[in-house]
Amino acid sequence: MIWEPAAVKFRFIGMEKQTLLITIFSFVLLFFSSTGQAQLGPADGESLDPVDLNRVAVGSLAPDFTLEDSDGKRVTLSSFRNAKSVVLVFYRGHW
Amino acid sequence: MQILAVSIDSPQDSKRFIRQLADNYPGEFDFPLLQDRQHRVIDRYGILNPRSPGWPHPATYVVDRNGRVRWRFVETNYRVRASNEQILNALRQLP
Repeated sequence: MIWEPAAVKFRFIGMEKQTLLITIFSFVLLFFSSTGQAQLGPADGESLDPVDLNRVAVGSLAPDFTLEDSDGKRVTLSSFRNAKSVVLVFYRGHW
Repeated sequence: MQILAVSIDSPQDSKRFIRQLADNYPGEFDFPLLQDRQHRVIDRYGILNPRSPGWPHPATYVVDRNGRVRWRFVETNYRVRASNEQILNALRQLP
């Protein structure tokens, strides 16, 4: 019968199929975990000089970032686009 | 309008700061204190105070709904701050 060789073939790739499925699943998991949430910190420009007082000047785009608040909730600057203007205050903090 | 405050404070220090503010200024405290522990966002904005353990120079940016800086106040003398009037005036200019 035509389907007999196919049945024999599938019996032999049992282990390989399992490995293949696990590999595909791992890649899918990795892909979704890396694109799921924005990384903490600035969205770009990590190698720029930390001292450049005129870098973010009037008229330029405010560099995007994601940071956690004191309850661990993530806040992304660009999430307020087309919704609210933002007053972004950098302060020295506890001393 | 959304206020975002950024410092290198720990969540514990931020929570303590929130309690102090709530005691001294009763009323709804409704903006997040964001944790920039390794001052990576501070660095991205170019406002790191190099003679500090990672503090920013005090800086305030008014960002419009397109993500553009429309007004800013950056001062290396920590005793000189933007007044609320100045910030409100800047906000009033926004469409």
